[in-house]
Amino acid sequence: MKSINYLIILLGTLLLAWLLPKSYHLITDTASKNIFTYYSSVDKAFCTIEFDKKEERLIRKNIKTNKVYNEHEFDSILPLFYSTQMFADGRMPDSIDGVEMKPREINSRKFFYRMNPMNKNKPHIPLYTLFESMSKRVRIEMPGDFFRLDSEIEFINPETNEVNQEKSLRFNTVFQKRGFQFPARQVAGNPSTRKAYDEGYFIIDNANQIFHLKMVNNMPFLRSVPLPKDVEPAYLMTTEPDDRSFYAFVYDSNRKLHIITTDQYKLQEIPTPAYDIDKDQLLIMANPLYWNINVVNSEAKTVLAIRSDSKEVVDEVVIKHDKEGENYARFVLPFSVGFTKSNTKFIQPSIFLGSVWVLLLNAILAGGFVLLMKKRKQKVQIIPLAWICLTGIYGFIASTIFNR
Amino acid sequence: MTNALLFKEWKKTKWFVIGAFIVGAALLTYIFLRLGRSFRMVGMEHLWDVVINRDQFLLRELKYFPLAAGIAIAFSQFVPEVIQKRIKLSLHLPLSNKRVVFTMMGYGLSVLSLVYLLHILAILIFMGVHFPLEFIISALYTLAPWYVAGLMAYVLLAWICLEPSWKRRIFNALIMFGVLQLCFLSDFPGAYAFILFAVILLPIYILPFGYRSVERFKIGIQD
Amino acid sequence: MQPIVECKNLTHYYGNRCIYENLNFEIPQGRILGLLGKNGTGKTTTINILNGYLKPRSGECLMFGESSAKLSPATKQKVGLLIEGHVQYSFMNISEIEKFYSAFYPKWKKEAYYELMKLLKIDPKQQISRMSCGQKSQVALGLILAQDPELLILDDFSMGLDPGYRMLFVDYLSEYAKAENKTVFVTSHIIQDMERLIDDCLIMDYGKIVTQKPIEELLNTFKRFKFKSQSSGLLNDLQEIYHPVSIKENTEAYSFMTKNEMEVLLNKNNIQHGRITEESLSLEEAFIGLTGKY
Repeated sequence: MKSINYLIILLGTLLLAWLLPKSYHLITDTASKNIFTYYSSVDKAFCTIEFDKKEERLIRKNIKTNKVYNEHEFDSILPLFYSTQMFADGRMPDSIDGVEMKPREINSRKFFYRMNPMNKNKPHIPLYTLFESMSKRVRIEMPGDFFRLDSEIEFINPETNEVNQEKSLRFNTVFQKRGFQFPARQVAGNPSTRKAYDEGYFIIDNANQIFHLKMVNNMPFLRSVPLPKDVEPAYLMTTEPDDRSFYAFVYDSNRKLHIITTDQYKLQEIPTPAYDIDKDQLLIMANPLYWNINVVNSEAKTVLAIRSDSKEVVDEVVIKHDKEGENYARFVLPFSVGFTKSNTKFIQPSIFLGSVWVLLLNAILAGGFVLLMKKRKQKVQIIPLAWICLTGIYGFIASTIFNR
Repeated sequence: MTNALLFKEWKKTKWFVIGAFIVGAALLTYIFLRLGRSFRMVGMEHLWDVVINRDQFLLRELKYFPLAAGIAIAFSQFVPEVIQKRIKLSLHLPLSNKRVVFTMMGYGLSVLSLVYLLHILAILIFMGVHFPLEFIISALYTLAPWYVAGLMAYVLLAWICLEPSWKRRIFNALIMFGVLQLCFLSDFPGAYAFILFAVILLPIYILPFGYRSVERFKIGIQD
Repeated sequence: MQPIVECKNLTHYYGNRCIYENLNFEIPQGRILGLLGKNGTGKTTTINILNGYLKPRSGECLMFGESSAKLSPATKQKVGLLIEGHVQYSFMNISEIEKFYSAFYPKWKKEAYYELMKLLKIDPKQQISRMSCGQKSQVALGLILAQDPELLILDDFSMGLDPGYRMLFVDYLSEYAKAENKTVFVTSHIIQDMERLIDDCLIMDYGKIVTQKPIEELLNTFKRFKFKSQSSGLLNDLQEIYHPVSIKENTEAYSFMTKNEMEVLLNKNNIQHGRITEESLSLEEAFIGLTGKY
């Protein structure tokens, strides 16, 4: 039964195509360095902190003028980033660009928002915690139930594992009234009691409408978010920033980023470098004057500085990743198979092709295989030979071992 | 004749099957008791919160049980066949070799599946009482690759045992190592949701390997 | 009539080591063929080829007209097999193993098995793994007798057996085979027992077949000659003489020749010799004569 042999060779080849490159990467991989980049409200230019390998120290500089600062000087170049230090030193100017520098004001409008593709692409259990948004207590408390948004909204009591019919009905009525189309496509919230306040959930329904759901005084609150015609929401991220200026980010099907402002749910577009939510990392570092929009993809990190109020772009910088020396593996390994990726928590098979030149090596290996078969006094068969031409070193190893 | 063959397999594996069942039951009892303690100590709501919002998996301790059961049953069934080349007796029985080999493996896979099914049934009942359907689905997605790993460990170990050449056995073991890795790529609950179907098909793919080694035995390959 | 076993042009090598080339033999119905050879001469190799557990480099074996590499279940049913070392399913006990095998053989003779077991005075619940080698051999033999096959293949049945058990085994087997007109293929490296058992013998040495004859013919024609000679070294060059040994001037030589032929041969080659005495041999002595003491 030669066919079983071929099954074994096929499996062996694929395992090699997975494990060989994996062990190669284990040996050769180095961390790509991440250069901190921030727009200076003083210099009106991007400044960076970068580790210099030669000098073995951090270099802080303005990348427009190339002026290098020491740590102390650098605080005052990025006063909003180092605001706590600046206030502590008493070095914070009274105002920058006419904006008064008050500690509380700055703190509430400074935020960091990081979006990793893995946050989106991960399995999750479609049950959600709906907090009381107008709790009389200082701290947010667990509500004692979880809801699902399937063909209707249902609240389940975890102690009994039973549906709270009364509450479910109360909410369902409102969902019906507001024209919510079940089931929900995405339910975005921050189900944590460790946050300053709660804005409940933003939900994409089955008709691509966005709804804002929260529970106020134990009563349902459901509002539809008016969307401009050309905006079809693809992904929501509810944020609950300290200054309560907006609710959530909306990533649309045209790869544009918006915020849902607290001003009557109006959408405001946030300019970003080309951004693919499934592949690239997004980091927003905001302060009262500027937002730094970082997008890191496989080639470069691109940073936009935009004005906090108007969201208009003031500067842009592209920092290409260091080219990690020539990847010789591309000329040896015809392809590689992977099951895990850095942008998803799901196990998904993927295949990466090597250089076309590897076909040359494949042909040489096929020739080697013919010689080997001759030496072993075996008949040269066409199927293993074709397989080696296709899969190169992997097929060669597997066929050599298992085709006796 | 098949019944007699099955009797022989049962005779070899009896204590290991019973052992696997008891160990599995004990493990589940431990997990259920521990969860019950959590219910009382921190409350159900917290437990649900941890599962839903912190991606915790409550049955993590089960991870290597199916694997161990598969390995134990394969060993108990095939080691007695290959020491002193006793497989010659089995292959000389008046049945086709294919039927002998696949009846033996079919027996092993069946008892293993039975142990697993009882195990999973207990999990389903426990979870059905305390948790919503969403939990159960997520748990099944998370558990399935581990149980598939057990079935594959059984099939591949049978393959390794039946293989007459030690050198080839080492290569077979490397394949087994690689294939089993496929089932333990991630601990994240539900990570296999997209490829679970393919993973479940894997044991079927590798099932005929053992017969290949019997054929190698039949032509007299040895070290 | 078609022979039960027919081996044609068997050639086998392990790597570059030749086991034999062009081995041909057949076993007609009702004959007992003994394959004799020292350890490592290819007895088990032949048995393995015969049972389809080894593919020879060339040639083939037929059993009941079927290629031994792929015997049909019906043919396997007609063949009783005793594996080297009397290996059986030792995780079963005496009655379990009987029940197990009975399911496979329609002509199963339970009594034949239990008759033999009675002699062992063993508890039917005793696991085979906890029996002595001799007891195990009786279980294996009992199972073959109960199977009542047309052809019995016994690989080195004498291995590990005490003389008593060996004799018991041989007595039982030969009586059974003769009475039931069974065909038997048996190998052994202990020759003593075989004389009373086998009809034909096939004697192997390293890399070749030494002789292939009915046992009677062998013992009638193969003789030992003793004589005194000063020039016995010359004997080594003579093809007709097997393994000559000289201690001082006392010379021993084995040959298929008659005494007269021997005398003529010695004279022709100018080998001085005293009076030649001719001796008949036991099978074991003939075996040593043919294969040498080393």
